[in-house]
Amino acid sequence: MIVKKIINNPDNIVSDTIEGFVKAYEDKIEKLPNSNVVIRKNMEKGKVSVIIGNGSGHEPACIGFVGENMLTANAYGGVFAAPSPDTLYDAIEASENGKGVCVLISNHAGDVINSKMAIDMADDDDILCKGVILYDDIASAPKGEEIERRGTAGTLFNYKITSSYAADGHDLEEVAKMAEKVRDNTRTLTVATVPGTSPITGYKMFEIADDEIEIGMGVHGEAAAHTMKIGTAEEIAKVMCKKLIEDKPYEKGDEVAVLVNGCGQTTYMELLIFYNEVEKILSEAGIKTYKPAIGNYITTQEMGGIALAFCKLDEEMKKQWSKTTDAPGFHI
Amino acid sequence: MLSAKQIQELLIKIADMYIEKQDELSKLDAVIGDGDHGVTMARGSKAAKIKVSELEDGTCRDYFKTFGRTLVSTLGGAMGPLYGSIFLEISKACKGKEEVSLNELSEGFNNGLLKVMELGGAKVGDKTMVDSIHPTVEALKKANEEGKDLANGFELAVKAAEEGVNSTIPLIARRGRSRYLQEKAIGHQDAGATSFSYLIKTIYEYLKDM
Repeated sequence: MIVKKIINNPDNIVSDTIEGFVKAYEDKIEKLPNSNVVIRKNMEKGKVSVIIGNGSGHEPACIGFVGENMLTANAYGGVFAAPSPDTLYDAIEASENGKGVCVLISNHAGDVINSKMAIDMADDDDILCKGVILYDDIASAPKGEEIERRGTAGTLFNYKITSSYAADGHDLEEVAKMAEKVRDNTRTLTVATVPGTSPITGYKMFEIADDEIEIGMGVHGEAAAHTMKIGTAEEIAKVMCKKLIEDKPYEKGDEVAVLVNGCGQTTYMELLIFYNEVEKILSEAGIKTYKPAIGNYITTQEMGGIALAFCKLDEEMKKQWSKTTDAPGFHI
Repeated sequence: MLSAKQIQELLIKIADMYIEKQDELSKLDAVIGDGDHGVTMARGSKAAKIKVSELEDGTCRDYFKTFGRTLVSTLGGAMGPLYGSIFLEISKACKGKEEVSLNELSEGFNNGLLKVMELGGAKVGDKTMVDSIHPTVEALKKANEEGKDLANGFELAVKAAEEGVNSTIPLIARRGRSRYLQEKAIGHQDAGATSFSYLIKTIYEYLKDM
């Protein structure tokens, strides 16, 4: 099997990626010596730290979200596999800065199990630590069963808003409450046009007909339950916006941040064309948009597709969403 | 009965089996999961094989514990804690034993099943590894009550585990990544259940050839 990717030995993908990242941003980020954890160099004392562990293969997420007013640290796992409890524990221990650690957990079995084990270890060592499980993908469970939904691209709102809020000096309880509030105001839906290839196995992650798109994809190339014929950006935006608006529901007078996330292969041109349609639909529904994030933030290798997410904002959330950050993988 | 030395040999065989089945298990997982199950199991098994091989004069408990702990810290994903816990529970059941019989392994797998269900939240019929662990545990318990020896007990367990794997084929998944596929997962066997049945088969083959 020839894997047509620019990599070295597939066994070293994770360490090679981290090394490249740390070299590029060594003025502000470092790696813990014996653990796959990237962490801020200049943490402010006496602030709640916000961390997350996640599988690799989604770059710039989540290593690229470590920075001022963003994550304090990221525990980095294997490709699409959550990091082990000890790696997560190392991230918690190293980022503890006097006011406790909020662990954001994207709702996938591996992330949840490993994070819970790590939080238990931290409790045992008297480190103040609290986990908040994030779920946003409306395709993965029906309304009313939100806690069964998986964490997908809309978690980006949480990384930014909750972390910025923590940087204002709020305590751990308040920070965890903010994470829950952002989560409860966020909804995401993803479509895929082309499968990505696993860099370790060399296999396509799913099959899809030339004239179809998958609707309701996960972030690891898990195929979706439904397909639809590919249409124009306008048609796809209409289908997606309708489902998202109905689910929350988002209402006339609401103000939302919009995420148009490219899954890896989709061009910035396509993302802009798509955003233009989304903005029109929201505007017609009387929903105001605030500082959209448009780009490749949470990718699934070279998968083609778009994750569309909305987060309803209040004044506090708007302030935190728009605060500047030096995290290398984030811009709005 | 299995001595500590034989447990060391058996664990190395289990690790070799997962390294060998890497491609097959990944392909199975690609159909209704994210296609990395085999790679994950092989990665953890390589590390666990080294740790277990390096451990000299360990007790029965030490070998299972080392294997389990290494899986938890190197497999990653959900599989690390889930697979690792099975071996850690077996390790606990072997506490203080110089030799291990069907009694300890039956108890260990039973407690492993409970741990997996607690951590992952899956029940029988959710199209996960629980569907092959549960019948395996039932078969081991029954064989133990009937006073069967290790090899006989695991011969029955292999059958039960394989039937468990087949039982996943017509199911809709309720846990794990394939659950998002809803009815598209029907007709495909679960990779986690399959890989657990290979574990039981490897144990049986070792016992048979002893």
